[in-house]
Amino acid sequence: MSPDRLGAMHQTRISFVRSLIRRMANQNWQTSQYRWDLSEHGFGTAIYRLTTPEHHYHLVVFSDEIADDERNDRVIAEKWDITFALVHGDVDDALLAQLQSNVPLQEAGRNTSKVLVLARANKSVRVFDHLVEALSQGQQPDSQVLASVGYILRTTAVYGNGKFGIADFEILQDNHDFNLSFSAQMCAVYMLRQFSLDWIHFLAQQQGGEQAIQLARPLQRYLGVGNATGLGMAPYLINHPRIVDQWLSEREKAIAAISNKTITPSGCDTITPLLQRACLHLQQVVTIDAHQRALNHRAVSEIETVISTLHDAAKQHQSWLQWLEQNQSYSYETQEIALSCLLELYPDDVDSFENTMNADENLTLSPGITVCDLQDVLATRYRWALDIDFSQPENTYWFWYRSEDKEEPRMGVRGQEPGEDRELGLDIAYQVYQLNLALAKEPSHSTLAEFLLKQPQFRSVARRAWTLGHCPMGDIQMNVLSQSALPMHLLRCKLAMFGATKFDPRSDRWVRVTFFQGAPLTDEIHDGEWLFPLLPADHTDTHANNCVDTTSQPEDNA
Amino acid sequence: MMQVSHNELVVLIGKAFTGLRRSCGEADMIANMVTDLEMVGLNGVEHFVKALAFLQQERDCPVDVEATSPGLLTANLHGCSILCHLPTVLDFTLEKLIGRSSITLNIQHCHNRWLAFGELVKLAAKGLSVKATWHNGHEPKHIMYVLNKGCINPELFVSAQSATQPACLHSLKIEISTQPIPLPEASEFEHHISSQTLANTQAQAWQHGITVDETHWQQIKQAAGAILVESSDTSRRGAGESEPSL
Repeated sequence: MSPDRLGAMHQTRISFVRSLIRRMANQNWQTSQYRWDLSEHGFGTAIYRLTTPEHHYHLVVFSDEIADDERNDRVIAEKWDITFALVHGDVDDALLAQLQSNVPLQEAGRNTSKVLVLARANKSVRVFDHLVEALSQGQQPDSQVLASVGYILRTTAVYGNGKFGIADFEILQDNHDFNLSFSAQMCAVYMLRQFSLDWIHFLAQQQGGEQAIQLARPLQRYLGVGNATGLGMAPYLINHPRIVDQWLSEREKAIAAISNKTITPSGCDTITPLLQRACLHLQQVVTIDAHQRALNHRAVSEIETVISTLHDAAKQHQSWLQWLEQNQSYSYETQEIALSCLLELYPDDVDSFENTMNADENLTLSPGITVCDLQDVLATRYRWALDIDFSQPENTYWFWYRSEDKEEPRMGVRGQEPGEDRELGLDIAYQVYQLNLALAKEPSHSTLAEFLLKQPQFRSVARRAWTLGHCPMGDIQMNVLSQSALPMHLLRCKLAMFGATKFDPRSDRWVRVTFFQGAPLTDEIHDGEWLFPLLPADHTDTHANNCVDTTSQPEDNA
Repeated sequence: MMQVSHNELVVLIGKAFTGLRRSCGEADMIANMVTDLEMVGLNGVEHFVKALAFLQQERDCPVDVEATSPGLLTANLHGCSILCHLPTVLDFTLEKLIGRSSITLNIQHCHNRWLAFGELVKLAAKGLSVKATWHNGHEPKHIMYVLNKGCINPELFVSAQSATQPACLHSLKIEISTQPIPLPEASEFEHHISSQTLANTQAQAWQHGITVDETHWQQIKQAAGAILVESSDTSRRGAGESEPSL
């Protein structure tokens, strides 16, 4: 899949946040406030309890006072407004004391395998202050202030899978609550959203007393949890290529499962409001990035055209596949929005793919492979890499490295900045190119095993190319050394698979998004639809208060 | 002592090996070889810490493998660690197993033989039976383990029986078969660690973390630091500009 398309992906109903909320609804998971021990200024400890059919968990939240100049979204930060952990089972006094001593330290602390998720968040000072002030005075906030940000708290790292001593993902394989990739992390973030709402209500009450009111529920639903993601996500994706392949392959299978269905008038009636909703969502997205603004603007106008062609397509009994193919004349943003909306129509066909997102990460070779076999794979699946002219400086412009500053991944200009000697091995395109040159010097009938015995330095890239060359989607087709490489595309792909919305690039290496914006609140968890969140048209507490009625009407599978 | 997770150990060892800037050896494979051994309680971390100093000095050169006779391969690792070469040698050996029911690989002039464990366990998962045997200069002096196809962990046997020839102290004999390999007579060895015992230790490590010596952890962490680049104002910008909070 091309990087440009990866960089245009949106949430779908098999994104991880959607899978989680469906599972919570289907299994009637219950959340409740278990302990609230915050000072009048909102600092202290809060604990939420999560009960599932087989287990119970606690989200332990620590709120600390930090100076404004200490609030930094990057991994190099050492203090945060909020630190939190999702714990399996009970939290007794001894464990709470241990968490209190370690969770606020994040990377510098040590935790045990009872902790499933370790994370931190900073507040959006503007939204936080505005909300507390308005609510304490008995007024609803200015919805435009909320719209410009979309959250109260913004996570800056959400760690799972064994980081800093917490539980490995492997031990969750038999846990029916969190055996899907990233589901524990998503759940911790979802519960944090409830904390963020309870927090501002508590502070408004502290300040306003009887005068204080609660935020209108439609606005509560509209607020999600922000996330600031930087360059670190790009090395993750490049180093876990089978995960990316699995995610994208399952997505493609879901699309394939429905795309041969015929477009019906009923299908048009269901997808049209979703597309309209997408338009409105894009119009409401506030981003400082001029390029993203232009992409959103173009998508809005294209989607209007896409909608206008739908009824003719239905009259001609076209399939959705034909419709998707026609959409290929539009921008990737538009195509991806159309896909996300289409998947909403067929939950019975699509939702099961959420269960096959976990990947086997092994990169393996098998006996019997010849040099010629691998050359064929490279020629067919890695042509994009073989065609790069690495003698041109612009194609090896960047090198990637980890800084002494908390191992933050960074990019440096080759030949100008120090650190090339400690370059990270993310240069897959270049490695494949070199492998191909070396293979060309070998007799094509000789075995790969013989070749690697003589040139063992190529075994790693040979394993990767052979394995990914036989995977449906294959490797990420990006030369990350290139001067024109846009790591943003990789960040967007992963965030969309997670289920992020409201993409707001802050630079070509840094993006802010929102999770769970528009999602049901913890006391009303249901398998409702919340694709492309919208600012509520009014503040009345109804489920049908959006600007466009998007109540899902799944398409008749017949 | 401290508790660490499986993933944490894999990542740190991978970084430590990467920091050596070796061209032979794959960091992800090596990290798993060390961690697999540690998970079953056979001191993978300690073996890796001992290996680190030598890995730094080893020459990056291919190994020589010779077909001594049909069904017998001899590999000369020239005094290097099996960590860096075992996967390539095993690839070659499996190639030679095609059309046969068994093959024996004698790896000579090698180090860190305990750390072959993880790669050999993988062979059993592929439906092959494996027997590994070697001698040490110190206790335990003779080690053998047998992994029959499909087994998750081996039956491990150790004894104080010394090697008959000094060369054996740096050799590892691996028999790979498509047929089950009989276990040795218990009387030949002084101690038998069952696959169940290893599996129990492994299960504990998954559930409660792996207990490692903090000094070892710090040594590996220090080695892993070799991949890091000093920070500067320019490099801080290399992560993307930091912007004021909203």
